[in-house]
Amino acid sequence: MLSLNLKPNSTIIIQGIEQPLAIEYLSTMQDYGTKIVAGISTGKAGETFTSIPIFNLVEEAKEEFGIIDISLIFVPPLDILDACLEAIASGIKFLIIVTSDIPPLDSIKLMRKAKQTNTIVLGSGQGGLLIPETLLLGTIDPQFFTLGKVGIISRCPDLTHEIAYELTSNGIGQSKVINLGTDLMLGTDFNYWLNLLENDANTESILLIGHFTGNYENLAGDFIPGHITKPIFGYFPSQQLPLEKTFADVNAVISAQLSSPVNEPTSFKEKLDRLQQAKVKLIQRPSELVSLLQ
Amino acid sequence: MDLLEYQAKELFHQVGIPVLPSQCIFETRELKNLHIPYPVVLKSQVKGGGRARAGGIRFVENTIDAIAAARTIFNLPILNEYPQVLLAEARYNAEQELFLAVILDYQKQRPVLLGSASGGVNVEALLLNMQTVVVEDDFSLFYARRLAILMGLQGDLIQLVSLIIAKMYHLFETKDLELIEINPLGINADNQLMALDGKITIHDHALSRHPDILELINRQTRSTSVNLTPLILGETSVIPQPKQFPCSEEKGNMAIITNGLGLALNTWDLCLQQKGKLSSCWIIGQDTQPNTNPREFIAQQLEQVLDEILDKPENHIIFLNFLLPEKINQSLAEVIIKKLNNLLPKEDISLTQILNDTPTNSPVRPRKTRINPPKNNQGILPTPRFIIRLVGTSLNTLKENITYPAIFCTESLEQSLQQITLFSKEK
Repeated sequence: MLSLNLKPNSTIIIQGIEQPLAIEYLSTMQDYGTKIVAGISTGKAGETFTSIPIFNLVEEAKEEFGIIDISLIFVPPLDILDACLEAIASGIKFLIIVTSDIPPLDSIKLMRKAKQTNTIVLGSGQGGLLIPETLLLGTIDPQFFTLGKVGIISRCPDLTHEIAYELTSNGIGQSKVINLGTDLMLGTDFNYWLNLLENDANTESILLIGHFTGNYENLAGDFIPGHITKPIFGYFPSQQLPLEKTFADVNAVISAQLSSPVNEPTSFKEKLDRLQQAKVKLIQRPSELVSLLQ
Repeated sequence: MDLLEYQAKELFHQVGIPVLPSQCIFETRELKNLHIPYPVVLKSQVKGGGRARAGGIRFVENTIDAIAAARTIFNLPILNEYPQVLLAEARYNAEQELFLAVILDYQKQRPVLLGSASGGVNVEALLLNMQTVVVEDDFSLFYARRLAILMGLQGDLIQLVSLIIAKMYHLFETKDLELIEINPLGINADNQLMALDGKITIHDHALSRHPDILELINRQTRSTSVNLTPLILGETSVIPQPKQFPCSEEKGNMAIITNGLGLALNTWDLCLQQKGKLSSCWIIGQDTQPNTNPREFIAQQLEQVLDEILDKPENHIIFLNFLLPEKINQSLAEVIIKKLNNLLPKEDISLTQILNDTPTNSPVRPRKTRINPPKNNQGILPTPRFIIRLVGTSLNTLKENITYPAIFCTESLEQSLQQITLFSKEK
């Protein structure tokens, strides 16, 4: 299992470093102190990019720098599976996928391979990790965060900023910030990171941020009792926005497209109830969390 | 993306799933040259379900009836869609009808086989008898046999139906499908199978790696072809469209613009808590694909969205809620200043100061003062009224440069929300 005591001197590479999104966030990460040792970009080997050497292949970077701890991946969606398989083949054990909208069948193959090789995948879809004052990986904007004791696990990267800003503005800092990703198929879910935060000495309480498309919040509700003892808060907006309905259950999908009434196995309210039964304190607005934590 | 029935059947045909002789009819007069013998069924080619119930499927015995039926079907919208093409198919006498599907289960992260011995239009019976087999590993025919047996099939039918399922799975895997469905798979008196209807959904994000399907989609529709060029070519010159969520409530008078889906969910909920009457919510600058930097276009998107919102006089309150790096705030501030200062002729503005929450230089601890914006000569605040929430020094830029009076600027979400109530109470 991954240790959450990632050090700033972990060996980190970026695959797809030439992509505009990578370029946009690279300086933010470097300014924060994250040390990227190499970039991987086909056909650009030998060049440097803001003093980062570029290689054609991950294995070439490995030959130069030894074992690589983390790869941050920005390649286009149709190239993600290949890039991840390449990273895994070079022994990288922690992949953070920033790219979103991966073809699901590729995601399935990736997740299977990751499981077989004990590789941790964070993402896809703006996967990111911030350890304040230590390490910034991904598209997280550090101006809203400060060091403290609240661990955040989120499926809404921009909402992570909103809540963190509210906390930081009121003197409440964060221990670890994990963006799980926005895609429907995720490499690691709430449960995996809940486990890590439960065992993290620097985390005193945990905040989950999510919404109810997909089943991840349900799984968290089932996992928490018996596994997590630290106080947990949950913020799940989206009850009102007319999002296109995505059904978790395949029978529900078929019912919907046969124009039959859909029996979703768990309704929105049931999901909330399940979390509350798991002793997750649900908050209605960011400022409420501040009152609860002060 | 959903394929139409005739497109799905083209793919079925390519992999050897049996389909009836058929002909696409784009115009009624083509029925004079029908090369399928009567009786024939004419089927509306639309994406919505319930075609038979809606009258979009008709059996005809001769050319005159066919032409009359075709005219009716072409003019029949089903779930708001008019057909661009009809499918004329030979008639088939099924003794039994099955339902088969392969679908991606996002929870299990595996493809799943679905089957029901009660295929056809009786949806209740179909769903009641639905069987499921999860394809845990690489596909092999035994998964299909397992489903066939669960469905209650016996004898030769087990193998025959299994082979159809295998072909469906092959299409599912090789074409990046979300769903492939045959309902009904007809079985006649001689145990011959026929895919009488077909449905295929291909995952949008994989479409660009299947040029054959793109060609299929664009080849036969003579109306505007699906504009997939940005997807295929990865054109970066195309400004990504902002995402809009319209509100179904009537008489909504408040529009929201924000920079992420999570913020949209959050802002929408909180505005409703404040009893705001929402008309629409817009998302700009959403990070999506790595081969574009969406922040490159965010200022242009804001202009576009503001134009659309301002075009609708029912929008009395416009709430801009952005959490972005300062350099992006600056580019947005320029757009906001330009747009807002164009809203009133300068001589109408008798105000010299815009009162707002003063941002500090760091993002912590915004001041908790409550301020009302000033009014015009008649004491009525003009509409639309803007609430602008940014974190950083661009708020100063806005204060110093905006002459339009009805704005409130703050770093604080809570103060923004309180201001919604105040603005709503103003006449």
